[in-house]
Amino acid sequence: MFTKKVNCETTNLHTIREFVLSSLNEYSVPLTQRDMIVVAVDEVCANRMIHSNSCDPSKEIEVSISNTSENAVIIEIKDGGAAFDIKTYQSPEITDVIKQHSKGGMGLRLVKNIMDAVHVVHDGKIQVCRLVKQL
Amino acid sequence: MTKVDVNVVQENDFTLIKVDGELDASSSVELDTVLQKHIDDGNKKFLIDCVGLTYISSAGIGVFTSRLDDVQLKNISLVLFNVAENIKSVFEILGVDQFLNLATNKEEAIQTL
Repeated sequence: MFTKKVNCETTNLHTIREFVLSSLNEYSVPLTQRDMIVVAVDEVCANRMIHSNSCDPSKEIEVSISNTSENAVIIEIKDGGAAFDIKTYQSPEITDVIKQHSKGGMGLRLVKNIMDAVHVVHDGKIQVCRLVKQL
Repeated sequence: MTKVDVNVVQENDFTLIKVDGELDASSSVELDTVLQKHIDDGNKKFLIDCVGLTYISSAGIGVFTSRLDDVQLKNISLVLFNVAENIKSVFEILGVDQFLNLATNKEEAIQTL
């Protein structure tokens, strides 16, 4: 398992992406799948930093990556911010996002389209978002 | 730290914006600010050179999709070219590739203006 912890500033998203890239390389994840998993993790982390932790640099977010004997990659994103269930959130249609001139609203659609499973669980005050990708 | 460089050159009757680096939730505001300034200045034709763009998240895509309505209303042309395959894949997963004007290279982009 590989683990990285950063504070909740969006300038740290690059560090998270580099960490995910190098970890997935260790698990020999194919290039195209690797690049898309990086996008999904980036989107979840950005969402958690901005909307659940108000980009507060005193707060931290932890990303852990592991693989399974069934050839899947599991990514867990943990933080102590406000609860938000990505799994039950209904992303707006792209046509509506365009009509509303919105700059956001597409990230979680990306996550759900890229990953095979998205789970949100709580461990005390810690929210854990678990992403699964079958290779 | 995420880094993006946005360079603007006025060529003939169009504005060429070259984007190098990564467009994510941290850095996309830089492109957003530059693009809006030139739209506010009344420029109507934009070429976005993505040859140096290595990563895009939904925040970066939002810079373009948030303006698609205005682009139509104000008769603005906005064409992205030299887009890497990993970035095209993100467009396709979201389905925004059918709304964005994408060209293979600069010559093709100029022809579509």
